[in-house]
Amino acid sequence: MVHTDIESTTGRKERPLPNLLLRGAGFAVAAALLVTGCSLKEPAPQSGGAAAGTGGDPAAAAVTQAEEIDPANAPSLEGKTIGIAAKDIVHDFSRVVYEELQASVEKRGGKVIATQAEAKDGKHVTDVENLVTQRPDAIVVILGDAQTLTPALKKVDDAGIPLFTVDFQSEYSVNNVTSDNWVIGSTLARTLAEDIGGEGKILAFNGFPGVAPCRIRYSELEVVLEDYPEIEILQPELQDKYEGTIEDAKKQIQDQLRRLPEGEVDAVWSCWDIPLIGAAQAIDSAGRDDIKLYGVDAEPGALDLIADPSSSYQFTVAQQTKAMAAKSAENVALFLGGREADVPNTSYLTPVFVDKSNVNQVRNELGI
Amino acid sequence: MTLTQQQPVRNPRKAPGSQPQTNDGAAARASHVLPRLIAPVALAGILLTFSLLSPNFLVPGNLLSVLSQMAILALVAVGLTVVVRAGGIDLSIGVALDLAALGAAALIADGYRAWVAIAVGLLFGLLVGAVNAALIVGLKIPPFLATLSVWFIGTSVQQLLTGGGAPIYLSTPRVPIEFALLGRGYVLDLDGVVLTAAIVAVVVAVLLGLTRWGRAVTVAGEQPTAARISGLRVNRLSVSAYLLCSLVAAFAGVILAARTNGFVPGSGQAYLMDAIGAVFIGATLSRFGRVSVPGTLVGVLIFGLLSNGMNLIGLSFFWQGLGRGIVLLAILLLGVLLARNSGRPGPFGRLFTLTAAPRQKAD
Amino acid sequence: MSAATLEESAQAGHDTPRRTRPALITWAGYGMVLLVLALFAIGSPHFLQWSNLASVLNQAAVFAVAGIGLAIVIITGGDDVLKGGIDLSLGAVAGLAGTVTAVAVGAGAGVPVAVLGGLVVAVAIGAANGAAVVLGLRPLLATLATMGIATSLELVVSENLKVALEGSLFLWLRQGTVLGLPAAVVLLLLVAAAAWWALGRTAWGVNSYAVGQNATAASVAGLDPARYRFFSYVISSLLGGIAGVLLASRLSAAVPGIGAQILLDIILVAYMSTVFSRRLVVNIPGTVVAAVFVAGLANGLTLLGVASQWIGAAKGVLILLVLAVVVVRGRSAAK
Repeated sequence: MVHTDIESTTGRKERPLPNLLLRGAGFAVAAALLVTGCSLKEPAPQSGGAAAGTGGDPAAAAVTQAEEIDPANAPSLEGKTIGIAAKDIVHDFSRVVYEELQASVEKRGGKVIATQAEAKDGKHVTDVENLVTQRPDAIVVILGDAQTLTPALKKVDDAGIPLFTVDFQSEYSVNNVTSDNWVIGSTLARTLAEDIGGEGKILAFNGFPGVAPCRIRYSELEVVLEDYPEIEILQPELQDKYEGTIEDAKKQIQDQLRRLPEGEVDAVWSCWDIPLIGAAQAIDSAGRDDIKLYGVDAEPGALDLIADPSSSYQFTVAQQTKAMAAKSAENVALFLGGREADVPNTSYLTPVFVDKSNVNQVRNELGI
Repeated sequence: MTLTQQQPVRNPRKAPGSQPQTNDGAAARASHVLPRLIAPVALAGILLTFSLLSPNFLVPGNLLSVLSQMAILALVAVGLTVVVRAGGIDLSIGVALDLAALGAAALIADGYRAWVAIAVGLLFGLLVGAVNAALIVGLKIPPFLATLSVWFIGTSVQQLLTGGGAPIYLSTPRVPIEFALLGRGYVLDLDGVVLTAAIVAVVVAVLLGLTRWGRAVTVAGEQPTAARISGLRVNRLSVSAYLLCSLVAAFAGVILAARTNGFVPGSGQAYLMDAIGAVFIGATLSRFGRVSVPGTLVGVLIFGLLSNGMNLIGLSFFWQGLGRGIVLLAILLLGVLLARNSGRPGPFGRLFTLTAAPRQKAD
Repeated sequence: MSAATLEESAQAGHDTPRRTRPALITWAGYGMVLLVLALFAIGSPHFLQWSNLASVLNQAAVFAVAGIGLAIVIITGGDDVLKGGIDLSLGAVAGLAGTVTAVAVGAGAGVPVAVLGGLVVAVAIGAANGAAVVLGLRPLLATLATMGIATSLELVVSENLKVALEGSLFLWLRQGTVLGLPAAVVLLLLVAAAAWWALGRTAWGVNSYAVGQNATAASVAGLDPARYRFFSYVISSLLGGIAGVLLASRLSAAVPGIGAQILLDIILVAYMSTVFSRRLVVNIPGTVVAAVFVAGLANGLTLLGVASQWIGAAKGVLILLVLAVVVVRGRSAAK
């Protein structure tokens, strides 16, 4: 009479767990219990070996793969200080860029001052201002939006510090490294529209219409749907939150499934993956295989679901986060090294579209 | 805890058992009962309203799913009830939840057995309780500020432990079945989490309501000085309350990790405000305005049904906060007003402080 | 009566130990702060530069103005958090006021009308808080409910979009200066001076402290605690509204959901003010110092190159340290 609703997924590489502390705690318990002679670890299933084996360095592999200029030729950042201000490190995209950018700058011999604003607009402005007072050689701002940041960015400009941005456009920015969000948005919308056969109803998570990439992707959804008059975005739109996103989205979707019986909803759209992970949990365990899910960011948790043939999760977009970070560091180095002509106004990195057919391949290639 | 100067005046009334509930006719008794009925009436009102507005609301399937949606909040609120009963507050309750979820998820991902992960998760949560207790009981820092600081610190600790806030996703084949059952098991058609939460709630309710420890905690919370004079070990009681609170929250965290199949930093604090609201809605159920586990569960039910109902009728999230705020305010205000109309300083002394002062003058 | 409230000694009688407290220890709070700031100054040559200090002060202004509002509520309501004065809706009110102002400006209303509109909405929420509290509701709960209401209204008014805030007044608040001081700081100083004067030098202020510390005694003495408390919430919301307009000017837009982002720091700043008081009470100058300290802390740690993940922890630990010093100081003084 006891059963679970666990979905089965194909085996995958485990992400290496970053902290020793947790392991320490585990080992402490292990040590304490050695006396009893019982094993604390599960007998490893098929993917157990992989976890240990690939824990090595998928990250480094991806970065070198992404490197376009031979590192030997690349200008160094020796003696330079680079300020980094990230809007948040809540989701994979911003966190990976944030960390890879620091690693990349340090690899080139530069010194990093890094801040992240916990997704708070006010703190993001403050962070940038605090960076300006330290007169770094360049400042890189990861995510944000022109509306609230422009005054602070103007201060950067006034102070004569070259400004670089990742994934948002500013008039003061020397170079913006970004995925082409318009392409991401329209491909996401187009795929959704084609998959559901050009007609139907979709639920949209639209809690961050003010965040630039989300705004662009949502606008593209609307543009695409102009040509699919039979597709309707259901009202009300849903709220995705920064805190407790998965569990909260799961609750909302559970309620929506009650409100919208079979045939009343065909797809769920979101500008990032995390709410859809909760949505997929709700939809899969309710057995509603009439609903398909479409997101962006290639969160590992979302990729797990896409790789699961029985999951409703269909599609996400992998941005080459590590490559973007490396590109931004390279552009900074080129610019500071006097090769300003080599730095374009915008460096686009091709997004990788992930669906059920290519998910495992993409994971291997990008190391995610 | 004894800042309110009204306290000396009210103390005689508040002492459990020593209630000089006297004479008065049925009318007076009704006026005592009335305020306590608000929360149940509100609950009934919510049920009625939404069952009229949506055909999907009052069906067993939906009500069961509301129960399972509420389970985590219920656990958090039950934990908070213990601390509030002991005269404190715990703003860091979400930190205990998060750290427990983090510990459990990380060890599962690392291949440990379910019970090891659960034990370590609970230990992580207890650690938060121990820090709180040390700050509040040991250093005598006021609970609000101490737990607020622990909130700041806990958020940082989570980021540091997860390499800047990386979520942990558990891929299913590696999750031991026992761990998965904890979050996603079903007993017949009932979500196992509901059952687990119910068991925890009953245990805590019994501990608080029926044991000597529970009575001692209540006295220590409501009248620390008297408790100390009468020889109760107030400090020890406080410590136990903070530990129990964090343990319950940690358990909620472990369940959350099993449920969401992973850990996302910063999930816990989202429950804090609702938990506070639920605990104090619950207090309106008591003659003494005392918080209690059953009362808290009524509060949690009100929040759960309200947000489920608002989703079912398709209310935009723009307006949902307004709905919740107004219901909360209305319940609590009605409580005050009805208590006032009873014309005597009734049961609401502890919940509604300010009535005492003007009344004092009138006397 | 704050940090020391838990102690038996505080209950026994607050006045005697306070008078005999050694003067040196009473400066422990300031001492700690100066120590930390000195460490920053030694660690980074940039910390004491005027442009950096000005930017710290500028960052502190929003929290200080709202914090002063909360301080008044706490002073008048008593500082027991569960039963005394607290205003959880302050952050949401700031956000709502900023949004209403920005939307009004966008709709073509004049700047004074728009600002007035924002402040009127803020005051209305404050009046609702005050009324609920005077009716006998716990402030913690009343303002918890209005926090939800204000947050929701903000979503409704802004449609969850950032609303640009344009206008010469707002530009001036963002980057203008008076005698070299940032405009926001000047505004803060005006507010602080007014609040300090009103609380310390007028009958209203003295009575507010009286009502907050002992409502029964105050009402026996013929004061009406309800009146003082009602107006403390109105004033608090008004200051919250001003802080909201200031914040929106600083960000050049009203940002939905900003209220939840600033609430904790506002509470922190108001409660930390007890550290900077000889009698361990919430007070106005202390609130301003605390706001500057909290802003300076984040700034200094960034300047020292501390990874931002550590900053939250550092903030928490330092606050605990300061609190612990105060408690120990209270205890030793009580002996």
